[in-house]
Amino acid sequence: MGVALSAGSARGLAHVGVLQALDDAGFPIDVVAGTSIGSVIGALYASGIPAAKEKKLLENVDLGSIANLGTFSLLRLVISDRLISSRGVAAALNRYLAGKQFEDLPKRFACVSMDLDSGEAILFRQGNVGDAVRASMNLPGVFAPVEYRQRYLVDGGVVDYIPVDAARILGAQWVLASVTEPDYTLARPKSALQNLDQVIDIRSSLMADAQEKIANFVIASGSDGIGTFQFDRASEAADTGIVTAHKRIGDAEENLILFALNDIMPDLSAKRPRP
Amino acid sequence: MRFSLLMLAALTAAAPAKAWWFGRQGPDPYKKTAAAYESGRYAEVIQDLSSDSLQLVSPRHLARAYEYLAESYARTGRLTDALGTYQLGVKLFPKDARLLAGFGELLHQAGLNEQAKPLFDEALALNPNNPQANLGVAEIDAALGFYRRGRTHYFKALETMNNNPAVWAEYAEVLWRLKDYPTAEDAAQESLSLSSSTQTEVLLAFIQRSDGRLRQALGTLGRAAAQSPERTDIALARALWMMEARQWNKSLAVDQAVLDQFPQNPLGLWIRASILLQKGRRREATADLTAAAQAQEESPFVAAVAAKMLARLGTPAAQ
Repeated sequence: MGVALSAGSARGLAHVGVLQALDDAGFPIDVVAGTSIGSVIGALYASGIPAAKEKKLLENVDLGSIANLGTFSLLRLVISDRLISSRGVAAALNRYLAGKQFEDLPKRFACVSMDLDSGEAILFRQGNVGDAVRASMNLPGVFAPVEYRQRYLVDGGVVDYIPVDAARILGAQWVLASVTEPDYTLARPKSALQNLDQVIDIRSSLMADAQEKIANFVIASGSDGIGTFQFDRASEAADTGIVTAHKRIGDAEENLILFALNDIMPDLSAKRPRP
Repeated sequence: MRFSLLMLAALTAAAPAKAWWFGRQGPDPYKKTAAAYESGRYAEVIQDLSSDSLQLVSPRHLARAYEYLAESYARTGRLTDALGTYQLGVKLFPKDARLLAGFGELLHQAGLNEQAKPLFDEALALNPNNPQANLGVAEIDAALGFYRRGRTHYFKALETMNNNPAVWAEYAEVLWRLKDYPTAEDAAQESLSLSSSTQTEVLLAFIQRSDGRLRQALGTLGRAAAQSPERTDIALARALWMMEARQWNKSLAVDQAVLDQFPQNPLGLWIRASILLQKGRRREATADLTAAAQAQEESPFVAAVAAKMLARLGTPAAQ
């Protein structure tokens, strides 16, 4: 079983609630794939931190300031037209992950970013996890592209909003997609940054529609009006994930059992001797 | 001038307290009604605390009088009156944790959890040990999937409500969901020691099964089945678990008893088919699976599983 955690900025913190509900229900999660914020949550989960503990951790750290997304940085971005560095993300993750490589993680994990020159989706499956996650959540127009192995990388959400295929590449047969779609119809962008955000949201939403269809099961947490950079609402977003997932757990269980039935059922075609 | 007007408005709002300010017109009914309430004579409380009599209650006891009256209304099924009394009581005594919790409980019982939760939270802010508010929050949290928070509030509620078997059972269920099987079992046993209950026996059986003690769980489920022989869900769970324990003949007997009463029960048919397949009786099994696969509306999951098994047997289910 694999989980694919979508992009979605601060809204995406709902993923940690979804993972907690799946843990509580005893889902056997073997592989995790994430894009953007999904890669942050996925990396921590794949490193062996239980979802309940991760939820507490994310509620108690100031993700906005780790990502250098304070008011001052955003103001400087608008005034000086200089993109923000996302170096802090890799540093913070490497602290929590003790500098782990992909191969060291107890669960298989992959994350996606985009090559700014070619528009290709780049799937990270080896190397330093913190660096890969930094590239995956490198929101274009806000963070400066990350230079990695002669490529310039930005947020994978632009090309692979829900990394279902990535989970399959890791070996998952049944993939549950945790999705936090933006409700862009409510937004009334005023600034250049908000306009960019709106365009990304619309593009993400269109991509999500298509990618949800290739997942075996989808848990879509509502955005509850949480804005792209509202990381201070982490607790609220995570709670939304728990409530949404809790309502869908029974259906997800049935879906997984039906999918796995051929594998768990004995071979019925052969005649059996009477016991 | 403005002060006088404010005082007048406050006194008007606190109409029941007026009599106390302006002089009593009769004996304070509080003691008598409190005794009636404690003995469960709710009709008497309602009669004694009519709006005129409420004016005679001393301000010291007025919040409790509102609580007793509202609760008496609620316990005699007069929910609209209870709602009105709580609304007024909470307006007059916004810092009374018991009134807030009682009002929250009334809304929670009516399924209005979104309205109840803020009242419970307010009550807990005033008194973190309020058992009713802790229980209310615990139940709402558990229903939404917040088992860890639920556990904390159940624990608090049980400090006072430790004689309530239902609360112990709810606590046991939350602990079971959190996979804390030993404590869950202790809580379920505590509940059963206070009062026997089929539902709690079933819960205990599930806890034991989750803890890997299938045979013990089957024994507990057997007790539950004996207590409530009319419960087909318990009988079918027993049959399923007996299959899991490879007790094919016992499982078939339990399942057959259900099918004798309800020949088209989809799960019953699926269980029998599975056992018959184990015994190599494919033709009879196929017939049962075919019937179970038809139950898409009644039991879509069982129907889908049966259809998949039929396909595996080379006999696709008829649409």
